[in-house]
Amino acid sequence: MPKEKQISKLIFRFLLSSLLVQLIFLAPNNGFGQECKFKLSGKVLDYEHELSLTHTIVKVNNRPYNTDSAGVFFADSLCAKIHLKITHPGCETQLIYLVLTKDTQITFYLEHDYHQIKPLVLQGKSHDEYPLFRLNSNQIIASNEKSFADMASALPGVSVLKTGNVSKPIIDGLYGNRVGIVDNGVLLNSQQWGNDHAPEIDGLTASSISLIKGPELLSYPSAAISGILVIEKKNIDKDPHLHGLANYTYSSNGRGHNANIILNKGGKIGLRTIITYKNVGDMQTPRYFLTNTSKKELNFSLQAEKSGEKKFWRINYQIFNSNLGILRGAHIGNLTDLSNAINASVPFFTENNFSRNTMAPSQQVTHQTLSLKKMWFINLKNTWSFIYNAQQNTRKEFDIRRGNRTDRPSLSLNKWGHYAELKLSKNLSKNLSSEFGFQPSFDWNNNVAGTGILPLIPNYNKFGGGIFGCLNLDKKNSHFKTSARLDYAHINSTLYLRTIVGNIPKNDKKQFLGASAAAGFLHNFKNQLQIKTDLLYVQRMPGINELYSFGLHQGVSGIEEGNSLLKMEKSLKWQIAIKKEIHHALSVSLESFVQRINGFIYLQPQPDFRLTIRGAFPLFIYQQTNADILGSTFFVNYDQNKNWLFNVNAAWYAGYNRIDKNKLIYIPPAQLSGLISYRKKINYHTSKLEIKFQPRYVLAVNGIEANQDFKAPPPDFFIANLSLALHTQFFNKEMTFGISIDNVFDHSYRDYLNRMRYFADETGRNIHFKLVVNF
Amino acid sequence: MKIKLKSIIFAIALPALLIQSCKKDDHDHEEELITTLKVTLTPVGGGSAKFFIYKDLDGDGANVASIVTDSLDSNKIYNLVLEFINEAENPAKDITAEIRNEGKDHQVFYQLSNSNLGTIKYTDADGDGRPLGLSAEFTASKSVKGSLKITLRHEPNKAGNNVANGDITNAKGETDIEVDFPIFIK
Repeated sequence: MPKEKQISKLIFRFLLSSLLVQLIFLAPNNGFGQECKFKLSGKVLDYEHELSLTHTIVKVNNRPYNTDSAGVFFADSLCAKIHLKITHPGCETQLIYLVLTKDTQITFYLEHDYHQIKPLVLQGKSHDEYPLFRLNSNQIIASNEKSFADMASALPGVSVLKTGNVSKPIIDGLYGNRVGIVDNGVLLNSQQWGNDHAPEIDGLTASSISLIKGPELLSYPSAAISGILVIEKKNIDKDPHLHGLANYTYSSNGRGHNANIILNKGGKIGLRTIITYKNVGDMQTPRYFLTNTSKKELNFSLQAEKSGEKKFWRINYQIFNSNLGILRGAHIGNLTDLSNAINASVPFFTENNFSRNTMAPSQQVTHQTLSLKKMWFINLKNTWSFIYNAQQNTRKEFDIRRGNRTDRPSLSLNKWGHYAELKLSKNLSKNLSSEFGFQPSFDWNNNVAGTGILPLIPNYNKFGGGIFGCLNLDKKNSHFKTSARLDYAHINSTLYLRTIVGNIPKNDKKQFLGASAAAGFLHNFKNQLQIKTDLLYVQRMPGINELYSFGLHQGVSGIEEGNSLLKMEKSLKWQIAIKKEIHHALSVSLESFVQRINGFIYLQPQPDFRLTIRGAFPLFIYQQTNADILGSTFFVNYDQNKNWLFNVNAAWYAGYNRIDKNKLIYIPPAQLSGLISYRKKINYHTSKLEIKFQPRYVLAVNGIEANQDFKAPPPDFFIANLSLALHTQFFNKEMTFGISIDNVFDHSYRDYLNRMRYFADETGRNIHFKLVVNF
Repeated sequence: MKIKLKSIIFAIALPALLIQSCKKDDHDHEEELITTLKVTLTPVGGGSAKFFIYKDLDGDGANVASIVTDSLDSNKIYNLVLEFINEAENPAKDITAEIRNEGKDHQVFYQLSNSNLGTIKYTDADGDGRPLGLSAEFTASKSVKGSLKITLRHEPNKAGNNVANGDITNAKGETDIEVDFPIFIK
C-alpha cells in the first residue's frame, strides 16, 4: 500500500466523514463547456478491503445509477456542475459536489459504519437488517414525533420506563443512574435521577443512535453499568452548497405538531443547524382525556467543523427546552388520596375537552451543551484528541400549592458540569490498536432559592477524575477487546436535617474510588455463524439522590430517603450473542446476559407507613442488597430481499433480590413482537412503497409482593402498529409521505413500565401524518 | 488554528468556572408547611374552653407527632374553631387566614368514629356559600370513647354529591392535613 494512501486511510479512520475521492484526470483542461456533454465513470470500493460495492445507488443530479458487479457506474450527458449522492446499505449516505471540466473517472471509497471506539457488534449485510444494532438517520427521522427514549427502544435490549409523557431508557432491565447517554462523545450530565425525569436530549440531533454494552463502555465514566446509548453526529459532507432535510408530523392523538429542520453546508468550514419544535396537547385514552399531559419542546443545535489531513476540530452548541404537564389526576397527597386515585375508574380532575394548556403539576427544563473537540493526526500510529464540554441544566417543577404559590416552582435546580478528555489512540502494530484517556470533571448543583420548600436533593459539588485504557486485537475472523478504568470522585454536599427544633444545615463529604475491567471476543465462524461474548466487572458510585434525597416525589406518593452510608455497587456481567445465517434470506440470533450486582442500590419499602400531620405515607429508603438480573432475546428474521420481510422477536428478563428473596420491581415484562413488511419499487429507484405491520404481545408480570408496589401489575395486553410510507421524487426533490397508526385497534390497556398505570390507561389510537423533504 | 481554538476554549471555560462560586441560600425554611393543628372547643352557654392540639414539628421527618386532647361533657354543644400554624418558622406563622382566603379551594371534613359521639355541623361558608369548615358546631351526645378525624382537602370537588354535608366520599382533591384525635366524652 503506498504511504500516501496509508496516511489518508488513517485520517479517515478517525474522521467519520469516511469518504475519499480520488480524481484521475484523463486529459489536460479543455476549459468549461456550457453544453451538457461530459461523461463520468465511477468505481465504488469498500474502504477497508477495497472490495467492489455492487448495488450502490449513485444519484447524479437526482438521476439514479446502479453499480455493476465490479462496483462501476457510468453516466453521460452531464453538465459541468454535478451533485452526487452515494447510497450503499451499511454505509452512511455521502453527498459530493463536483465541477467537471472534461470526461472524468473517479474512485469512491465508502467506509462501513463504525464507532469511534469500535464496539464489537454482530453485523449483517444490510443496514436495514434486523435486529437493528444501530438506528440510522432515516429511521430516526421516520420516528420524529417520538422522544429520545422511545426512538432508542427500537434497538434490541432497550425498553422504556415512562411516567406519562416522560420517557427514559431501560437497558437490559436497568434504568436511571445505571444507563448512560453519550452525546458529542460525553455523558449527558443532567437531572436524571428521578423516575419522572426524562433525558434532556433531542433525538433528532443524532445522525445515528447506537447501544454499547461491551468493553467499550469503560471509555466513559463508569456510572452506566448496564449500557450506554450513543448519539453520533456524522461529519458534515464536503458539498459546499446548502443541503438539508425538513420533516413534519401531525399526530391525531394530542393534535401534535412535530417539525424539524436540518441544514448542512460544507466547504472550508462545515456548518450544520438543527431546529426542532414540538407542540402536543392533552393525550387521550380510548375512554377519556389525560388532562394536563401536554408537551412543548423547542431545541436548537449548531455545529461547525473543519477537517484536514493533520487536524480536525468541531464546535457544537445545543439547547433543549421543554415544558411538560403531568397528569392532573396523579397529583395526590397521602395514602388515603392514593388509594382513592388508584380506585377511580376515570382519573380525578379529568376534563371533557381537549386543551394545549400546561398547568401545574408541570416541569420546565432547559439543557445547554457546549462541546469543543480537536484531533491531531500525528502520524500513522498516533492520534491525539481533546474534548472540553460544558453542560448547564435548569429544572423547575411546579405543584398545586396554597397561597398563590402554584406559579412558584416547588423544585428549582441549576446544575453545571464541566468535563475534559485527553485521549491518545495508538496503533501498536498492524492488528493491535490501543487507546488511553484521562477525564477530569467538575459538577456543581444548586437549589435556586425561593421555592419555599426544603430541597429534595442537597446542593453539592463533585470533583471527578477517570483514566482508562483499551486494547483491540483484530485478526481476520476474530476480534478481541479489553479495557480497564479507574474512577475517583469527591462529593461535598450541604443537606438539611429535619428536626423538632427546625431544619439544620449539615455538610457532608464523600470520596469514592472505583476500578473496572472488561474483555470481549467476537469470532466469525465458517457457515455464517457469528459468536460474541463479553465479561465486564464495573463499579458504580452511588448517585446523589441515592445518598441524600429526602421528600416526596412528583407524581409518586411516597417519601424517599437517601442513605449516606451507601457503598459502591459492584457489577459482574457476562453476555453472549450468537447469530447464524441459515440461508441467504433466513437468520436467527440469540442474545443472553447474566448480571450479578453486589451492593445493588434500590428503594426498599419500609414495613411501617410514615405518619405525618398530612396523614400516612409509604416510606422508601435507599438500601443495598445483592441482586441478579438476567435476560434473553431471540430473533428470527426472514428477508426475501425483494418484497417481503418477516421477523419475530421474543424477549424475557428477570431480576431477583438475593437477600430479601423477592423479585426486583420495574424489570421489563416478557414480550413477543413481530414485523411484517412489504416493500415495492414502483418506479425503478425513484419511488418505493413500504408497508409495515408490527404486532406486540406483552405478558403480565407476576411474583411482585404487595408491599413492593402501590398496585399489582396490570394484565397482559396485545397492541399493533401499522405504517405506510411512500418514498418518491417530487419537484426534483426526494420526499417521503407517510401515515402510521399506533395502537391500531384503539385498545384500552395499562403498561407495567408506565408509572401512570396507577391512575390512568395508556393512550389510544394515534394516527401520524408525515412528510419528509430532502433538498 | 491551534492557538485560536485554545483561546476560544479559555474564553468560554474560564468565566464559566468563575461564575460558580458556591453561595448559601435560604432553603432552611418551608413557608407552606403546617406543623400544628389547634382545635378550640368552647361550650355554648359558658364554661372553660377545651383544646386539642396535633403537633408535628419535623414535617416529613421521622419524629413522632405530639397529641394533646381533653375530655368533653355529654349533651353539650361546643363551638369548634380550627387554627393551622407553622411553628417551624420563627416567629410561628398562622396559616389559617391563607386557607380562609382560598376558601373555594379548601374544605375541612370531620369524621367521628362512632355516631354515639355526637354530630358536627359546619358554621361557616366560602365565597360561593359552600361550607369551608374552619368553624363548626360539635354536639356531644353520649358518654363514649372514640376518635375524631379532621381532614383538610385542597381543590376538592365541592359540588360533589353530599360533599356540602361533610361527606368526604366524593370530595376528591388532595389531602393537606389528616389527623386523628382520640376523643372521650364524659
